[in-house]
Amino acid sequence: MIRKFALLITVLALLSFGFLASAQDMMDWTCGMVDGDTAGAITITGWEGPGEVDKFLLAFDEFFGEYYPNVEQILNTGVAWGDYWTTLPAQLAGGAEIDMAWMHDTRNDTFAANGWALNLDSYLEACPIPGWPEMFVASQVDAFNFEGSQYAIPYDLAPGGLYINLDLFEAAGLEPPGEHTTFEEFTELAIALTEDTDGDGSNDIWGISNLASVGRGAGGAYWIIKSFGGELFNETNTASEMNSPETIAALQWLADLLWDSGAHPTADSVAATGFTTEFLFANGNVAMHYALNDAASRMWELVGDSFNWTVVPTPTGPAGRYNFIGGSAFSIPTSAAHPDLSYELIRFTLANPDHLCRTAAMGAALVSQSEFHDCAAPDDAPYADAYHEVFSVIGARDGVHPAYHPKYLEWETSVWISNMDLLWTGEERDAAVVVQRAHDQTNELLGG
Amino acid sequence: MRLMATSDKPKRTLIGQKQSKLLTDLLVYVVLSVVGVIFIMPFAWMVANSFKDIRGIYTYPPTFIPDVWRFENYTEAWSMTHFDAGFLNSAIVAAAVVFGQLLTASLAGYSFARLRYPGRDKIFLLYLSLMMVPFTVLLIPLYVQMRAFGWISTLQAVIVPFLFTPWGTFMMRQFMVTIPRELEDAARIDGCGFFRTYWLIILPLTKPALATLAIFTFVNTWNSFQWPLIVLGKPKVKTLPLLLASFQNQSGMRTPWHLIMAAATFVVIPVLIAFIVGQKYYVRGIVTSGIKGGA
Repeated sequence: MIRKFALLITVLALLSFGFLASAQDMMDWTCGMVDGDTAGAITITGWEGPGEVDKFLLAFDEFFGEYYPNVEQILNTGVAWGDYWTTLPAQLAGGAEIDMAWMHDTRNDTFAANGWALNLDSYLEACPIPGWPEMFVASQVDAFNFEGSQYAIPYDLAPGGLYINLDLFEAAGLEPPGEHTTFEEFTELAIALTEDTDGDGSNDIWGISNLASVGRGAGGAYWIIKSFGGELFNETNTASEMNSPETIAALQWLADLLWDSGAHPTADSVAATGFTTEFLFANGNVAMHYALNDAASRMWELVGDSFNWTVVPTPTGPAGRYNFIGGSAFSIPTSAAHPDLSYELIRFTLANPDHLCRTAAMGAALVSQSEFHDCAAPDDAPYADAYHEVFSVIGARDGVHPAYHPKYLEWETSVWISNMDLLWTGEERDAAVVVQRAHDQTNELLGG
Repeated sequence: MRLMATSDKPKRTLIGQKQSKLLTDLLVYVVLSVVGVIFIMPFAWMVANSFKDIRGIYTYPPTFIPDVWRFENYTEAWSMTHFDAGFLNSAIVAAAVVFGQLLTASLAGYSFARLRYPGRDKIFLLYLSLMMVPFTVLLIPLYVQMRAFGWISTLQAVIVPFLFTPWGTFMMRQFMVTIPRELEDAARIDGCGFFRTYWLIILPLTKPALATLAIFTFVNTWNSFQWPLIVLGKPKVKTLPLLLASFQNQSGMRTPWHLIMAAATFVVIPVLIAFIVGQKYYVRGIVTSGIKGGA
């Protein structure tokens, strides 16, 4: 009798605990702005396609399954990157009722300035995201802040690093670079590793790849410019500071890798192989490949056990050490039909600790909460420790990106790419000439 | 000897001409074959890659024939997204637009070619001038219109705006002005009104032009991408090119290219059939209008 009574008490206690826990859960992940019985459809659009987007779709399903079972998700994901940025502005300018949209740091200010993205400050105040902003990487919070207001919540951060073919280093009797390697030492390494193995007069193993390519945005070179002590714009983004000797020196260093030492493959030599530089690294034709952290899992799949590889930090310049950092976020368009629901969904997706590790592991990109960074590299991955050090610690610490002002995109295509491509294609090999032209055009565009 | 000589000369000339023609033909065939191979290579490459595994796609140096033949790429690609719905959507849209354009372009062409009313030629020129407006300019106003009609993410949004075609009207008009007026006069004497004349006399005579317009419209509609991408958000109403594009990832290395190639192969089959069936009309359309593709 006593045992039955004790069992009953235990069951009741467990049920009460469960009820309280679920009540607590309800309190945490809904903000009381939307009725649980709400029915309808929420429209979500993004560029991530099959395989990439799954990490979020699981969280979306959990959120709606638990809190809003009558809401249907209309997912328009997998829109190719280029198409996404032409269709989304057209849709939003046309008043499309899109409730949640993938956002990129390079576009945030443009969308905010045009009134297409919703200011999230009132939401963040009324229903704060747990851990916001202290547990998020500051550079990423800042990247989606326009004129003091938050317009999107970052979901990842993508620092740059060097992917190293250890076998090529070993064969050449060289040590891979480290955090304190200077640009001069790095250049010597790149030259020493470059080789024409079949003696046909053209290189087939390159020391370094993917630092400069045709059509590349300014972010890819900005960390090098900063390392040399240069800058692109003034503090208010109203005038160019490109024609400084430091910026010119940084860009000349890049051009020389292509056209002087030949340690970096040119666009033509890459095109001749029919592949991108990422594939060339995976095929063993490149000793050091510059890429973001999200390339790690793909490299693991592609390289397999063909050769040993790891990741190391990018070199340190005369003005200090910097690396590129970028990232993506979730935003709510101003024309959204269900902005409250979208905010709750974003909050659940990016701050619920129950699934953040899974999200990071499935995407192999870092969710913007520092305590889950390690989940991005599987424990059994041979590069896991190096990944943590290079991307989560050093990468997050030294990350920089250009100031993404509202005219940035226009500037990047009409000024930066059109001028810098002359250097990357070899049409002009003197960085000072290209930079001066870009400097003048930048001032014309910015009104400086 | 003299006779021999005189009779030999034309013979030699004839043989020389034949040899020369043979040589020219041979040269033409060789050049055309080389150009044909160059043009068919991307298609052949797509089909070859549709049977490879992902590592086969990335093999360096690239190989044309797959090391491992993966026929299951086709079943995997088919099951990866709503291709059944995609085929149906594309078929409905293509059929509706083709039918609509044939009707409106032939009626308008008849009007501009045969009917006499004040300002006819000016209206025709005005209508033609629409061909100079880039579609990009129309994207947002058209989207606003579709939203006002409640047609976002419905097939109406990719059908109705494309039922009318200045290019098709131009082509039909050009064709109809070549039809002898006597045929219409005879029809009128027999008691036919404008519409009966159009339906019973003009339309049957414009079959080649209609076929040309149908093929051009079908190919353009089947491949249409930008507008459907903007206006068709719901997965179940998407057309085939949108489904195909959704396989891609931001990172090229994560994109299942072998499945995309398989999907692209079965998506292109209807267009290929349409082209093979109506090849002569396709070429005639270019000759008649001087324009490759309308809309």
